[in-house]
Amino acid sequence: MCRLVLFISIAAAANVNAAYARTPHAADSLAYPVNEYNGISYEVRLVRDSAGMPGHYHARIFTPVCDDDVCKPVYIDLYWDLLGSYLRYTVPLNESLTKMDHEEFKREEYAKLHEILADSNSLLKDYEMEELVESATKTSPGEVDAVTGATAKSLQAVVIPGALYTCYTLWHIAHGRVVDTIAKITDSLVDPPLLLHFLESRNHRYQYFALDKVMDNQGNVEPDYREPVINLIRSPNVFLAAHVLKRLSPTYFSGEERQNWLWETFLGGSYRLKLGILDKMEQLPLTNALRTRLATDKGDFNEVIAERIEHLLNRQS
Amino acid sequence: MKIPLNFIARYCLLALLGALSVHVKAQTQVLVEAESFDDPGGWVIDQQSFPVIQSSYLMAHGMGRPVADATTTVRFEQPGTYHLWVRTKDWAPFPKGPGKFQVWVNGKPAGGVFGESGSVDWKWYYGGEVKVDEAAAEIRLKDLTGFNGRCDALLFSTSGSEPPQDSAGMSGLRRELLSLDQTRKEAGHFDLVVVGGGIAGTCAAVVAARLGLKVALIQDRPVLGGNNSSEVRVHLRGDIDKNHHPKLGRVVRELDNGDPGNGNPSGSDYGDKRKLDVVSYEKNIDLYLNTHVYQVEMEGGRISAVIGRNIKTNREVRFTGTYFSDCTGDGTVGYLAGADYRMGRESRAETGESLAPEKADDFTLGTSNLWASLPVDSVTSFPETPWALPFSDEYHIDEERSDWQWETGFGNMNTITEAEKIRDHNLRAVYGNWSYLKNNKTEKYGKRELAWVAYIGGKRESRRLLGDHILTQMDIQEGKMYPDATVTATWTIDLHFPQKENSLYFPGEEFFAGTEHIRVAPYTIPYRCLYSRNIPNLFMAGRNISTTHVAFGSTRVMRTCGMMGEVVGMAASIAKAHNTTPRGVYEDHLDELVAMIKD
Repeated sequence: MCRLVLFISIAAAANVNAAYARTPHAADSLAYPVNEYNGISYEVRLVRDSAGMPGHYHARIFTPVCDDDVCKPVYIDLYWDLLGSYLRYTVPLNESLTKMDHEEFKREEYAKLHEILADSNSLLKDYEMEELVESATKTSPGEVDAVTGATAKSLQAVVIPGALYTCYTLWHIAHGRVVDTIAKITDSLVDPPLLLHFLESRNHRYQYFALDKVMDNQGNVEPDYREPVINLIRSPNVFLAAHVLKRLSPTYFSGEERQNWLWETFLGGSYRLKLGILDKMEQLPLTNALRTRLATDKGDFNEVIAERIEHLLNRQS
Repeated sequence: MKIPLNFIARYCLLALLGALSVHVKAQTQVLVEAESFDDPGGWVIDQQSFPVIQSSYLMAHGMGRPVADATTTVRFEQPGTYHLWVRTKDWAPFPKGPGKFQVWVNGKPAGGVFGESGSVDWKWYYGGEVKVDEAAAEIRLKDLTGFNGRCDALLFSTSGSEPPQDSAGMSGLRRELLSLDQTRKEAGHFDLVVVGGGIAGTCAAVVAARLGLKVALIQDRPVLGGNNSSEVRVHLRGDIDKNHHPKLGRVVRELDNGDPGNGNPSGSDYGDKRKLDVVSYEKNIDLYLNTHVYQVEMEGGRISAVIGRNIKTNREVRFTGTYFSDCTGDGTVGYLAGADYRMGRESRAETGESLAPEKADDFTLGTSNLWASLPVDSVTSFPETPWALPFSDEYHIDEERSDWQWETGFGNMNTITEAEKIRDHNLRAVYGNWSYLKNNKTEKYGKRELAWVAYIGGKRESRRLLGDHILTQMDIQEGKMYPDATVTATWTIDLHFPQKENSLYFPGEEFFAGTEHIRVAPYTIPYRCLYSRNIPNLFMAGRNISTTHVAFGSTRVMRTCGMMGEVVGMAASIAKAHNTTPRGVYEDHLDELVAMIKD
């Protein structure tokens, strides 16, 4: 019971990817082999959603976790998104995770393991196992700081006491060779519905992936994708919005309707987007309607924007 | 002086009235310094921009919750109608900032809302005409947002003409209307005047006092400790158990309140009281808190006096002294006195250091405004912050409290002349990120609240005053042991730079740092790094000693700085005993200094 509650909380923690956290019901028949760094092998499978769209990847993994003296078996299910980012884990029924002293993980330690695995930039990435053991076991947090300076945040913070090897081994599997394997599989699955699905997904990794496929170096976009790509300029993800705005060919903003849309976007957009839109306008022949609006409203913002608008209007006159 | 002549001619009589810093000039102009309000309410006094605007100001630092009103009573000799001017700015004009406040006169708002003009410059804004029927009027600053609205001063004038907008003109107006020259007090003569009450300055003052010197310790904040105070909350680093001269570090130990880490939500853990107590027990120290030194007097190439202004009352104090120690961090005293200094990085050709850049530049390490959140019982809200730095699922800092990496000012902004902009950029990063976390990661952050955000910046680097020796990377890495070896330093060469990912998302606007720690064996700092090479009675201790930028990367940590202060205290006592200069101690009495350190 305790564990059931725990798994619900882990799924909720990965709410960004909630769309892919459903129970798998349509596993692809294809299984792809992964040979991991520590000698273990397993199969990763694509799981489709109810509409038949690729949903996520799953693997049931058995791996030994060893220290100098003993090895113990670990059974775990790992889930990745379509680009190979770790999503979550579950432990099969009747199995559990234990520490080196055979004590079972506590509830908060199951949650902590998810946090550790979810951190793709974990300190675990850069450490060899031996270094890690030495650093995490022989020094207190204060001493770590004192010896190596302020960057060495306590290694204890990125592992579970007594489960160092488990954390290390699982992190390197979750972020290991499977990532490349998944990237290759997903590449082979790319088709228009998947690209549209990606563009409209609100998952910035999927969106950047799709953009790279549908936009050329001049910022031209194939007609089928044009509308969803332009709409990304209004994405709540300001970085994606600014990226798309900057890259898109100015030709898509020449008409009156589209310039109105751009101005409305300017009014509702973040400061960064406002500056980006003014940059874009520098590349455009502005319609009379937009020129009028710029001239009327230029004093409503700040000195920088007023000057930029002034420059735009002078350039065009 | 930018005040027009007719202005001076029209108001030639000065009249100083009762309330502090409320001064009337021929009944036509009343200048009210916001920082001198009788009751600041929830507003805080900020003196960090003094070198630029020549004044402290009040700020509504409420972490997003409006702070209690600041109030004061202003006396007018003549009832009548006055033009009200409010000196303020829009600190985050992107495009409009959140620092909104109102000025109320006798229970009524005057002149609308201030602080949202879209202009970042300090200016006088017109607040309309106000009618004053009685001799005294109650003035109230009403914060509307809790997001760092700020007010430097109010001016009531019977003239409709605009007050001087520029800093020099303002400085003159202030000097006149506050009668700064007429009200200045003499603090007396001291053997050693220590300017800066951080760890280095406090150690210098304590050691000198214990050796019998009459000492003035001047600090521009209400607490001692500087970056290690509860106002900044950086922990003490650098070892004192590997000392070549084990006697050094004793006062540092007294000041050390244990290690709460960086940015701990518990301010008392940093031991402000301990530090104040240590100083209070010294009968030879005259402590001047809240006093910002901004002027020096010179005689025959030596510093003869420094002048400080109280950051609240604006009353000035003059300190004369035989020796001065610049422990300001910014090298303020040395700079004002004309001491040789450097700021930024030397070129590799100049220093021969492998870690120096090819070309000299203005790059410095940045300034941190640390912050921390704490859990609360129920879900709370935090406003959207369109004026702050933007964050999204793609990029945000997923942390409940800060550490040293929250840092702005890597050569893109001047850490002295743009200190306010740097602090404000830090605030825009903190609030923008926190707003994102609170509004988008409610499961993790819903039941957390900002417990503390520093409004005093923890500055790492600015000027380095030059001494008879300039410590270099080679000195450190080769472990050179000069005859005047004093402080032992142990910290890595820790030169921060903008973190790569942060640069990708905020090019030119970085607020998050990375570093590479170049480990060093314990090495010693020569005494010659602790006095000015061209101002004969000036010592220095702390981050502004004589090093290259690269070497500074290691010497700058606070236990090490504290030990520099201890050495300065000892050297000052020897200098006094032999009636010589800091350099004279090196040239003629080095054995005595070394013996004292070894004792």
